[in-house]
Amino acid sequence: MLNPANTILEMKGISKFFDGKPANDQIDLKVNEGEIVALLGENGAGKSTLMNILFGLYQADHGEISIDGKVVSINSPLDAIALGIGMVHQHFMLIPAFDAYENIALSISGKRNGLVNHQVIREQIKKHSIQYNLSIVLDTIVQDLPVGLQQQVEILKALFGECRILVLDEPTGVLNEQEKIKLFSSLKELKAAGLSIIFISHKLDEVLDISDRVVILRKGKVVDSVITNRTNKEDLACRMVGRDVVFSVKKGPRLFDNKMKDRVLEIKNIEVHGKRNTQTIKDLSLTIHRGELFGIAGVDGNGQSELVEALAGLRHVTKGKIFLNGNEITNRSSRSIKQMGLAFVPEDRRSMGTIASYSLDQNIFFRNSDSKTFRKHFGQIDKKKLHMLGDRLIKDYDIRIPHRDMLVGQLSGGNIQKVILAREISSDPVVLVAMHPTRGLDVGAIEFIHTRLLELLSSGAGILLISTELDEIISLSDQMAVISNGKLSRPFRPDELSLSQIGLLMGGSDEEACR
Amino acid sequence: MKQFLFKKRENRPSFLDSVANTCLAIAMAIIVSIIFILSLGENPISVFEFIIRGAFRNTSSVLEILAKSTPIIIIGLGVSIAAATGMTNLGGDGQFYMGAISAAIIGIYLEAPVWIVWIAAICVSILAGGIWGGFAGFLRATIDTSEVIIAIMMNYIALFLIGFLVSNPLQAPGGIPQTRAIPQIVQLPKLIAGSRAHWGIVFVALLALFVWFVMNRTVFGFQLLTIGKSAKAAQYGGIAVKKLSVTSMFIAGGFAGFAGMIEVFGTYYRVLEGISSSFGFTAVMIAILARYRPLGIIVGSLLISTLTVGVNSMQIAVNVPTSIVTVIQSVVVFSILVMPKIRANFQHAQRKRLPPDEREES
Repeated sequence: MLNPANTILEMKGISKFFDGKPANDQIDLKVNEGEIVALLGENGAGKSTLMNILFGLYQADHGEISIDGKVVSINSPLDAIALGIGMVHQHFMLIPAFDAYENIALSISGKRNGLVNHQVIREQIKKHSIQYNLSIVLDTIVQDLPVGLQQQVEILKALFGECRILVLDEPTGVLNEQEKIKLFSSLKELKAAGLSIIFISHKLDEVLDISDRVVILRKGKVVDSVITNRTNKEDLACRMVGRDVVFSVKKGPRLFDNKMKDRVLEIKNIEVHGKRNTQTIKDLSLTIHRGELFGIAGVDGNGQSELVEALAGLRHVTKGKIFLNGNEITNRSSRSIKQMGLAFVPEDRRSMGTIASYSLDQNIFFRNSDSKTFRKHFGQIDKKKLHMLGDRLIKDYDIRIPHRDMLVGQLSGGNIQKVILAREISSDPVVLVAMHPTRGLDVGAIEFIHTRLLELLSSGAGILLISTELDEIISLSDQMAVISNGKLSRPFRPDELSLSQIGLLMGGSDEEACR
Repeated sequence: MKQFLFKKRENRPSFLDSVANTCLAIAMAIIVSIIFILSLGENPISVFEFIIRGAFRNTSSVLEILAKSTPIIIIGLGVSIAAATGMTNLGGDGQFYMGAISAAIIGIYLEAPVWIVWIAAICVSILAGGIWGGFAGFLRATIDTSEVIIAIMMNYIALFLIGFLVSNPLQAPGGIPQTRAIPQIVQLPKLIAGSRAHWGIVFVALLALFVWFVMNRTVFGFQLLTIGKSAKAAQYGGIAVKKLSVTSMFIAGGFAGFAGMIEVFGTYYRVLEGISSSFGFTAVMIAILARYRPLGIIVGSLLISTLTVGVNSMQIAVNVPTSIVTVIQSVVVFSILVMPKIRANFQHAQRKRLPPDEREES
């Protein structure tokens, strides 16, 4: 910004306590007209809390907000919208069964005499979408739209009501590469039109790509505010976590050797049907050896969930066979598959991997409830032994939990993932299937989890890692493949194909096209 | 102060909160019934006096309270087990009838030593009630029908089946639609001769203790509760979700069937139409109010039975219909379900008004 622009928003000394613990501690934030400010921070740094205060979902305990130099009080989202603040939440707030037009029209409260003038609203929406270059198909039911377009609907919705400050909470988490590029170009259009944008993220590349200024939060405090083109990735990462971060965990010397013929997991030509009984996985085969990490890359929704569920005994396999350590596990119960040594980190860590209203001990136990280890006479639970295991895992996995009775649902995403990983690895598995183990986590937690996965490999277990983060797959895998539309590419070494070739595979091109 | 906050258990609403909510609910119930009584032109104070005096007028009235609460407690305990896996057992009445009739058949026709008759009757009644409840659970687990609707329909099937049995093949001589009485020797002994209370109430205390133990201490109870929290997570955890869900409904039905056996062997000695005065629904209501805790179910059932006994004797003296029991029950249910929310909103609003430093303490 060459000319000193007008400050449109100023948040001064904002503090917010939860249970006496500060989530925001004396935060100051300034946003100028036509500026994209990135709020960067680890999970739990207080980014979302701050924005929820701005949008009126929470009220600050201390501090004041002023817009155009005037102190305002924002008690509800309605107040925020009236002041020209729009917010796109991490999880979309759309009504899936309504079409895009209805969703947008809903948010327009300017009805006259309780009547809605559809003609006028439709015109307005069209005007806005052309102005900001947002591609919107108004008459499609929202649940049938791809995620990227759903987000465009959210943005357009937020822009109504004379929006001047647009807040986007982790907008790229659900998007694929193309959708992300489209989003960023839309944001640049909005900026050019004079809008101020606050962009919450913990992804360094994106922040560097889109923002004019980066405000870094750590543990509820602003630690720094830097002009984007005067910084770089390493610098930002260091400021964000407060220490130097090793970027990609390096693969150390491995037990794995291609000549070792110990096959721990063998999938032979399986076929699995998806939720709506469509055939999702088609003729899929793969082999994992002792001490080998097999990575599956691919865009979400190409059969990854169905594959891991079939492996874990949660989904029926209609054709083909699966062997664990030489024993067939096809269509066995999830309990016996687990007992035979398959550990599983599910993608949905909050509603499947853990039970939010259970304590840490209970969360360890529900996955081991049939084991004799924790059973006393009369079928009683051996709570002492369980507590001891809990203590050990908390120490070994650096799980940050204020007190032992705390419910796991109150922990941060990273800590929840550590609980799951600790539980699964402590069962001493033959094979660990991990789906999106680091999704949405901060750099520190990602590094920790990667280190643990590599440790597990050196103990001789095999790992099947499924992730949409290509970097993760490439830096960790011994062998990898790309899944697209339920089909797995041939396995290859990560250095065998170039990034663009892998990208083509992810986009659904077949092997020949990549040569 | 912060230390204290962190130590606080957040798993359940605190004990004090529950007590406060219950007291508020009772206060509401008293206020509404005062209005009800005044509208009938009676003096509320004397009506309440009659109710309390009536309930505790002598030993036999107190024992009557125990007798009345026995089946409700047993069915309520079963409801709490079904609720653990997320099932609502509204089929208590049907299961009770099935247990009662099969126990009666054993009592009447099985010629064997008393102990054997008792054990056989207990087993058969649990089985009959269990099948009745388990069937609703089975349909829910396999083809995802509502266990509530199925159980209610099963109530009607049981009701009419009993109606048929007691007026046709099993009817006692004399034209009244009821079965023959079971022989005196197999009837459960009374706590005190001449009263209606029998040794069944002792079973109830043991059963409540047992249910508490199973749900709070054992792997089985934990597995049931996990299913109720999240069936998806339970399945991932290797818990046999379908099997245990059906089992929990079977147990709930078994408890209701057992209650039927206790009523036949301890109170009526035969089966007749209307032997259950919607015990099943009352038990569900009490179990919900007690948040499925065994002790709460006992206390709740005793309270409702006290009210019923008191009102029955009050009705003789004062011109207030017995339906006042229903009014009071409804107000209590309403307030217990609604008051905690209202209180929470109120406290939240108050907390907002406090300066932040004091806020942490509340």
